[in-house]
Amino acid sequence: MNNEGIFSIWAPEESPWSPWAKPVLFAHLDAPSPQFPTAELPADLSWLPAAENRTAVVLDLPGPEGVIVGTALASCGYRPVPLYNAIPLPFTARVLDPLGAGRIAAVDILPIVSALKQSSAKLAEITLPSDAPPAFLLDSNRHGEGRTMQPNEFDNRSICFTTDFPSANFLYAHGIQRALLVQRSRIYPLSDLAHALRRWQDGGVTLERARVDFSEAPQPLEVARPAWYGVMFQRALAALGLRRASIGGFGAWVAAASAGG
Amino acid sequence: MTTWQTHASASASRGIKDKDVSWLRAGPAVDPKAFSVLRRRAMLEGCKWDPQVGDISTLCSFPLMMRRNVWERLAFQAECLSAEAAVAEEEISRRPDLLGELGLPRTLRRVLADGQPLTPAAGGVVRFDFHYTLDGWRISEANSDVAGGFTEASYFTSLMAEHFPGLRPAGDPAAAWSGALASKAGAGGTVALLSAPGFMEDHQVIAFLAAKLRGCGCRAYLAKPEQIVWRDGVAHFNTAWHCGPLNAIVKFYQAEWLARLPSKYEWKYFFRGGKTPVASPALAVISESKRFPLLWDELSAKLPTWRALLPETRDPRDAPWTTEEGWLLKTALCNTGDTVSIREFMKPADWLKTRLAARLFPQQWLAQRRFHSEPVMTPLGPRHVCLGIYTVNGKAAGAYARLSEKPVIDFTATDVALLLEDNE
Repeated sequence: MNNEGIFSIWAPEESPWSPWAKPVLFAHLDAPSPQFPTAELPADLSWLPAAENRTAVVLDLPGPEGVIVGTALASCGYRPVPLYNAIPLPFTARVLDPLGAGRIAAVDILPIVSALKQSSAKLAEITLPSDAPPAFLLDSNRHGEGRTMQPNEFDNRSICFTTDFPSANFLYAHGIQRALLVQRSRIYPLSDLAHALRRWQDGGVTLERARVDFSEAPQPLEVARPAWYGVMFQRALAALGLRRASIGGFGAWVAAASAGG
Repeated sequence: MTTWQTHASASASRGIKDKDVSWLRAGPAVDPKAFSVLRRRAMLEGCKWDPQVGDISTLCSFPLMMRRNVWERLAFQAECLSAEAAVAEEEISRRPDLLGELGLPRTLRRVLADGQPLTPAAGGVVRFDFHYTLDGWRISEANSDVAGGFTEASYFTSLMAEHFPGLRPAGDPAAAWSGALASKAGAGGTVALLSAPGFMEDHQVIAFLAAKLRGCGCRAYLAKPEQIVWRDGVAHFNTAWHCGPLNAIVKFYQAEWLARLPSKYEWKYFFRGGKTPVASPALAVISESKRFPLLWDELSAKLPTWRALLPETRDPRDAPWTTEEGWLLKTALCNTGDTVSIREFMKPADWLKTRLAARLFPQQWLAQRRFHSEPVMTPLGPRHVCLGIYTVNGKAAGAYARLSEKPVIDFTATDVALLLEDNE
């Protein structure tokens, strides 16, 4: 199946959430890339509300785990919506295989690419209603945390923006008044995601949190006002001459801002 | 064919002489199923990776249609603007006192004023943003240093044109730009395309250009400026995916941000003293500054086209923007309209912050007389039009058209294909 076919499985025409599916990884799917073994489906989904409860789920999980859990959630009536927003490698040729065994990119996206390909067949077998609630998929490693980036690596770290998500009004219009943040080994959202969640919270969406590595019922989540909240932050701050810190702060990682005019 | 005429009659009733607006109209929407396929192709083949911004779908399913003679006139004006800017930039670069007025970082001013030879240009692309107003066509700014919109202006527009036999794109700026770069880099040349990490809307631009460069026979790699190593003024890659000298660099990375990098990255070579050709040209940041007009009276260059098309621009200390409604404020290095500040479209608290910033740092701001944009009637209702007309090495090369519900073009604007129809 080509990349268009796979993208159509993950972002079908009939789903109201498909416009938010990020195309960048799918644009690279036609390239030969390494196959990674398929991970086991999560055994415990006890934290997952029934789809009839109309909850939006945000899976902020490391690497391909979001794809794996998202596919499992599809079996439970949720529509997985990939929001991966990083370029896998610095090449424009349709070849994704790394040149050698060494690491090239700051964030290893190739396992996610592989998981999207491998899970598409399973997802295609699942018939979801067009109004299935969304499960947004993010890579919690997107900031490149947990390791020191080498100067010669491709800097494909990424952040998510409030504009990567539908508004609280849009959620409401589709009968969704609750959102559940699901993470591994974390309680509070990453700084960039906090902006999006806070915006939902301000719009009247009730937030909850759960962990895939800790079996418990969803807990209430109150997102504190993030630094620079409400500013159309990245570009506006850049224009004002402010710079993000290399550690912490709203963007929490890169020192430069967007340039396009 | 149903079209949506502009408010030409309203313009006429106000005694507007320029009737060009009647030659600009929205065409019919492409069939939804066909448009869905088109949108998908733009995303998967054309590097349009931000087709949705919040609740807004950023690609319009209908084209904007313009008479060829109107386009030819605007294209000619863009070429004049480009030529005049190049002369003025050169003159300003020899006047350190004037460089200080542009709102540029001090470190960058120091490098621009340096006596070393300019780093050779790999070519120059400028996008002039034209708006149709009650007084005819006007420009709001020039994007000389870092101009985006190539995939929308080239790939998306060509896909739309397939649905409108008899209409043609105004050009293919990505092809013109990549062709110019490839000829500079040489056959099989290696080109680095630089952008800030983390911003998909920037990555998509350089990824699209890189694919075009590969089509021209170049080897094209994405990177960030810190990964360029300068040896005797020659740029090298020293990365995990390529090591060796570069034949050309495309920096999709604003000059003032380069200037904020630590000096160990030797970013000065992007402007002066380098031997590897760099695009955009070193002096492009001069006309990129929205305070560029404040220097015109100091120059021997006359800039007649700029004077005719750009609204009156003043230092915020010299304009009555606090008491008169007819002014807007923006920063000298405003990107994508983020800091364009018009009191009536802002929350009081935001306007207060803008006022404070303009008073505290007036040298980084400017006041510009507002023009009154004439909306075009579209299937979505009245929309304000911004035509970003590209020049590549001084020649008009196509247009990036956007529509906005409000008379300010910012990140919420939607992309629309500009197609030309023959004159009657």
